[in-house]
Amino acid sequence: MNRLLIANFMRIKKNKLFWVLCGVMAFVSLMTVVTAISNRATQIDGLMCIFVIPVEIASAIFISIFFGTEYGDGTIRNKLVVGHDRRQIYFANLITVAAFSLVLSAAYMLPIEFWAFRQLHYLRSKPLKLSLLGF
Amino acid sequence: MEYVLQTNAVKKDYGNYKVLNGLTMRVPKGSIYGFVGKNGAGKTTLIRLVCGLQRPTDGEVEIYGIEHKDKEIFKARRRMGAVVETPSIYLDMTAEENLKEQCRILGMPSFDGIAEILQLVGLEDTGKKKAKNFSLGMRQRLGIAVALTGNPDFLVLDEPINGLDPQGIIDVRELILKLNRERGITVLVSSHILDELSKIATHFGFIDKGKIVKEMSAEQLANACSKRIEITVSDTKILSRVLDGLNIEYSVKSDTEAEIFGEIDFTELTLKLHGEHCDVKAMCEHSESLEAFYIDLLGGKSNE
Repeated sequence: MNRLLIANFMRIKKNKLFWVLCGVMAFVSLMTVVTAISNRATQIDGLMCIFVIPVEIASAIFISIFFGTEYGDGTIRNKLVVGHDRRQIYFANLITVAAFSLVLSAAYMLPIEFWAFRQLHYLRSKPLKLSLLGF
Repeated sequence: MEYVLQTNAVKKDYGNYKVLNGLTMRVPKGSIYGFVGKNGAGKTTLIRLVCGLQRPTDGEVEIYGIEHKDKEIFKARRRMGAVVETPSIYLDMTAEENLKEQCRILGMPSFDGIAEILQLVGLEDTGKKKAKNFSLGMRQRLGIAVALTGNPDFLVLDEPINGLDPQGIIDVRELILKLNRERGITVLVSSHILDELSKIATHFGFIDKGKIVKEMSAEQLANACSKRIEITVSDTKILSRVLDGLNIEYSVKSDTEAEIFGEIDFTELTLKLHGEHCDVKAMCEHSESLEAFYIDLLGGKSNE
């Protein structure tokens, strides 16, 4: 299954849509922070928690295109013909999807983390402060 | 004789519809096996079973002596490459990137053989052109190149010349012959165009309604289709003597019947037989085109 994972990750790395979506996530989160700061928001807890929505939308777009290509172009056959099991292929795809979603989430969260560090004292939620500090 | 692929009474059903109905075939090692049949005969279904894309309802598929149910079958499949139905290529990647991706899937340590494979299929000059901009012939050749990644011993091609122009057909034909002769790769090619297969195949399997109707070598097929004279005489021993003296190829079917191959001088033969006190009862000339042989074997409508 390692081979399948490496093949998937290298394909993602070369995929322009992946980089575009990471850029879009970073841009959206940056705008969120800038908006919050310009409005002199005293807390950005809620804004952070809605990262799920843009990440979910971006994931749905990317995953359907990325893995849909394998079925549309028929390239999943290349994996089956050389002896990979269907369960291995599906599990490798699942891990790839999870890793991709993590990367997208990180792309969204990093600007917030960077700016929000400076605005820590505005945060009321102690668990959230701790999460920003990496606990 | 060693066989790369053996199927034993393979069946495949889709609900109540029987696509393969007890199909038994053997592909000898080092051969180019032409798999011929009408549309809907079951060629692609069998190829899908051989490649592991589907499982048979019943029967066995053995590749290099390993049964498809065996856990070790993946080792046999590593020695295979296949192009099933349409070329399986990433359209948004270049030719080289497609081969690199296949190398990663196979777990190959390096990309050293890629340039050689691209040169072999005639795609060495494609550069950064993406596969979506390739012609059909180029895509077909790239599909074969992907199948060749990993240095397979056994190549399965499902109707590789479909939709190709005459030059494309020649290119694919030459490629298959080169792979078989220079690299010793066993090739299973399916097609419904017997004329094209007859130019490359060393063995033939004719499939109809999910069963193998006939398996034969290229030599047997050539003999079956060549011009021949069916002759009925009073004594085939005398006929044999006379024909041996004339250096004519023949085949004795019974004490009174024989087949003579090639061109003969009827007058000379009849006079010599008469001289040996052998009566000629009947003489009938036959010749069959491949198309006629195919229709006779698999059935079809008459267009005469």
